[in-house]
Amino acid sequence: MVTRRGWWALLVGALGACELTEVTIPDGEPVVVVHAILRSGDPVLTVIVEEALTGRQFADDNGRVLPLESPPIPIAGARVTMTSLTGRDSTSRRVVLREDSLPGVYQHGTQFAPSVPFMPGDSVRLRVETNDGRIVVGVTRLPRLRDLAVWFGRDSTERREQFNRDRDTLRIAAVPAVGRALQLEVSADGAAPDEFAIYFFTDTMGVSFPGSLINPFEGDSGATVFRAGRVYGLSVALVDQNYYDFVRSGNDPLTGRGFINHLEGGIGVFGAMQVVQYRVDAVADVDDPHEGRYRIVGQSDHAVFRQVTGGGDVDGRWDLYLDDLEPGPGFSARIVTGSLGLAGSSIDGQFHGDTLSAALNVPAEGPTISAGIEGVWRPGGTPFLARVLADGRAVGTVTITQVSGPGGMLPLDLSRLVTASGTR
Amino acid sequence: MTAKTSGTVPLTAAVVLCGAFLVSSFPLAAQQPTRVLRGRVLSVRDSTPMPAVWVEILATSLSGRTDTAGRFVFPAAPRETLHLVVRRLGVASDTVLVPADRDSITIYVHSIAIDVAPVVTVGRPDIARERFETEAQTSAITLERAEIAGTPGLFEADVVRVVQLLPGSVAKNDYTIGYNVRGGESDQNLILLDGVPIFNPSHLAGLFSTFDANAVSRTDFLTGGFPAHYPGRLSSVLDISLRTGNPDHTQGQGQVSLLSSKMLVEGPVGGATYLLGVRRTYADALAGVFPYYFTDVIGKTRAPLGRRGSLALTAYWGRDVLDLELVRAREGHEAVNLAFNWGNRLLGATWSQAVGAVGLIQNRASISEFSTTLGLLPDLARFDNSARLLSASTTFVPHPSAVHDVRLGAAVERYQMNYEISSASLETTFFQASYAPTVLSAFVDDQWHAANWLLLRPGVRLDYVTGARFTGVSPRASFKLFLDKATALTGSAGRYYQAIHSIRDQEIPITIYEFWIGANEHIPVAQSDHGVLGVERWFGRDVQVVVEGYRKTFDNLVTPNRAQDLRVEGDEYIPATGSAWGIDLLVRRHVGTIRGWLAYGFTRAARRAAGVTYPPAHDRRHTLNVVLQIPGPLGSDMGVRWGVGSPLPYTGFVGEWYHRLYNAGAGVFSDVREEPIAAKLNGERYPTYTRLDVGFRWAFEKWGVQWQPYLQVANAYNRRNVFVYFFNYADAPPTRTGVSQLPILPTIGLEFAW
Repeated sequence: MVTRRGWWALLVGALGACELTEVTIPDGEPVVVVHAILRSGDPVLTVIVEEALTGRQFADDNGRVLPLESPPIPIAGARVTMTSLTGRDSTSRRVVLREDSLPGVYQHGTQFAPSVPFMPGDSVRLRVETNDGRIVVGVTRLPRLRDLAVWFGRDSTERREQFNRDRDTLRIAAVPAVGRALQLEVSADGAAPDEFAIYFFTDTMGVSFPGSLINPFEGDSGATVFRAGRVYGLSVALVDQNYYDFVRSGNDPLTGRGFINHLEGGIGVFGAMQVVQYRVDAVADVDDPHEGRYRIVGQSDHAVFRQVTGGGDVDGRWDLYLDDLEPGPGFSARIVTGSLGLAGSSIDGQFHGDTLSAALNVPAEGPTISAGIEGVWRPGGTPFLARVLADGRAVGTVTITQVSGPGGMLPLDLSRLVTASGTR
Repeated sequence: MTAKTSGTVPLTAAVVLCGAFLVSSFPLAAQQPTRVLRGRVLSVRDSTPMPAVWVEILATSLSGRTDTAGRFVFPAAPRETLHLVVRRLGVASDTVLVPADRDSITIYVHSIAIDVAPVVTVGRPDIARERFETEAQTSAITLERAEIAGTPGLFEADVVRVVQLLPGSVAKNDYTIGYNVRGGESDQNLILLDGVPIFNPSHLAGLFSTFDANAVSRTDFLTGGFPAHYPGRLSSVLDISLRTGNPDHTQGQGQVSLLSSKMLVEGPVGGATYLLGVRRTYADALAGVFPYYFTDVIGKTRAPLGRRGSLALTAYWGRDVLDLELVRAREGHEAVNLAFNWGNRLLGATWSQAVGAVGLIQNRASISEFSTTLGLLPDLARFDNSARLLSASTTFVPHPSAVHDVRLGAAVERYQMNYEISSASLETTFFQASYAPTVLSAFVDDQWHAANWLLLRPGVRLDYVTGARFTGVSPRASFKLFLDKATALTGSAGRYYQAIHSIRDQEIPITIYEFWIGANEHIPVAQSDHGVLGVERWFGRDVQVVVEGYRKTFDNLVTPNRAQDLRVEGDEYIPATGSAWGIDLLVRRHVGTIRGWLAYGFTRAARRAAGVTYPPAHDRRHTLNVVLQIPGPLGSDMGVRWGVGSPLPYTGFVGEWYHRLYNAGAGVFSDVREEPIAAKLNGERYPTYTRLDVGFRWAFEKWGVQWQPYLQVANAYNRRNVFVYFFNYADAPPTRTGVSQLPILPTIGLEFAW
């Protein structure tokens, strides 16, 4: 979030200026703020109605994740309706949104009983009337895709099942029947809602993301946006003009102008989008002796394993890919089979010399359960022992064996098999 | 005094015909062989032209005064050995021998301090006085190098910062290099370097200007009613002339300050002269944590060309560079740098050729370019913008008669502005736009000495703008009516057109550079009408008082349209109109122990766009600047600048809102931005601005080098002038704070010359 403090720090630091004394000023003027996005296929319509910040009451900004939490200064008791303006039976395609559990958050429909009557291409009118008679009106037209292609390969003609970040480019091309711009989101599985590997907004209707893409604002580790061994969710949203203007504009902190508002009687957005979601299975070339498939066997009663296996035996396989990271080479590994973690989930780790260390995180009902694995890597199919660490102490031992590498399957060196404690 | 004569025509003689404005001539006996004797008077110290020097041929009735370029001409001087006497206040008088076979001469004179106890007189009132006596030209002020150097500033002498202290000029804050003249926007100021327009003359967010003051010969600042030969801008002309370099010997000067160093060398080479200056900041090298620097190079050379012709080349190159390595290069991928750089470069050639005794033709060709790149380089994302002007002009200046001094000319200006936002990595071009107006012009301008008590200056300029298919006729007229030898009523009126605009939001208080666009079928040619009426009076020959009132209208201005559709050409702007009126006062003492000026301006400006009338951000009602150069303590030369500005408008806020960001994949609002909600446009005003700068400069000579250490203190009483306010409506009660402009800022430096 860009805050006032951030602007102050930037200006004061850059210009050598002084911060002026803080003074109290009169309360601001009330303005109704409305946020409503119609997402095609979404079973629930949601409209957030709140007051702009005027200084009359303290507004905590912890309401940023919505509709999970209520807005800081909600407007309760408003009459909120959406009406289709398309077709002759618009009366029957009028819905009233109710304020249920959260003040200021108005909804229609449920996950289990979807009843949204609007279709892509429809024009819909939103009307919000507050208890004190303020009326906010907006109209949107739901975007409709005519065609959408998402593919990856070395060039624009090749199509591959897996996305090789060393060689492939992810390509997206949309042909809208109704729509103005694309919002593209790439998130690693399990990431928080505001944690995007890629967030991209463009009105070009086509864009490409090379697998070697680096986000330079994520530090100087050199990590590519796409990490091999990860599965990513890709959302392609075709958005309407209202949402396009809502995203691309904003009131700048110096003049207070710039936001392109399509609402009458208030400020905010009544926008719409059609969303199509994909999965991107990122892999990489296996060309380093450390890379390849590993088998991990052992036994531990630690919660990180109990969560997956119910305790006892551990037997799983990783596909491990190196990243040329600073300060040392890191890796990401995907669990492909077995009872080490959830198949498809990922593990991050590093090599310090020949010492391998990895962090294993397993979702749980409560806080995520974490453990570390640390051992001295042995090449060429030679098994090696690794300790399982949790809270700074060893909670078990596993045996790790690289079963394939750059040249394919590795011969298993049974003579050097090391038995992990408790492993049969 | 030293003098150089030549049988071949020296370069200085090549342009004398156009400079003979002040020289009176008398017919000689018809039977006596005569010659056209041309000459130039220059300072022996740095070759700057010496205007208003009285030149007299002994034993004849021939005499005259040098013009602003130090030139003189005697069209019918006797073909015999002559004795020329030169004299002027502040110049060591001398006599020069001119052989019978010589047709031209360059005379070097020494400036002197004259003890008129107890006052030590230095400086030259002559340019202003000469203009007062001979030109119908309102709203014109000339600054010389010494005045620029003697005005205290931030880090080093700065031409544009001094211009901001002149009447009619408003600087919105300490950080902007832009200035607003008589109610106009900063993009309406034409800035010329030896006649070549320069697009964005600033470094480091306006803390340094483009021009090295040591290279500047003189600066003419015209705030209204400017004559027809200047190309299209609506509000002002800043005409900066570079020195041509010392033709006699090689010399140099340099400066070391806390942020930058510079060096300038000049001298003769072959039959030509040259001047070359280099400047660089070194915050990046010293601190290593702020990867910013700028470099600029400025140069000029001038050489004789053919018979009675000369060729002058002016070049400038400057680059501001902010280069931050975000990701180091590794095997398999390149480094990623956050790069922001911008700069101007120009090259101008001026060929001046005397045409017999008829007059002078001056041909000029130039290229001026500004470019900027902001991006994640080399391939991730980049914004590129460039503005280029190719121009050529020819001007014919007939030999002035006793009554008329005419200038005729034609010019072509070809602009090309390009914008592109793209990403090679993402194989996408997000935005492209280009503008390419060509302006064809012709003009005529006449200084008409209608009577001893009346000077007139009629003129007209004709412009045709391709693309916009616009034809504009711009009549210009000025008058000067002498009430007595020291007092004159002055006035001017004219129409002005401007084919290029800046699309930058002029209400934002800080300027790095302008974003130029050009007129086409969608974007109009801006227009302004000026009316100026004033009175000028001199007290003695050193104190000048000018009062002028003015009224301006503005049509076809543009303000940025934030709701523009990037796919649509022609909706980039919202049309705007405006008006301004005001009064400017200048009290200026040119000569004496205490020199300087008091400049006061009263302005009322208004704009109307999208049905809303509002005061523009530069609508400062009262501006007062006092600039003095006086003897200081410990034998120093002291410079003082004190300025007061009445409150400037800004847009207040009436609240804030959470601009939520939507996660399309999850279907939730996942983050927020706090954004203000604006009140009436420019409906509030900041507090009054005041600032005192003082500077001390000492001079001594050691090891054959002249040293000048200096100390400057900007904002000496640490006035916390408001730069911007910030509002917090999330708290109860709401609060306002902000940041100030420059705090007290002492700097030291050392200048040296040899």
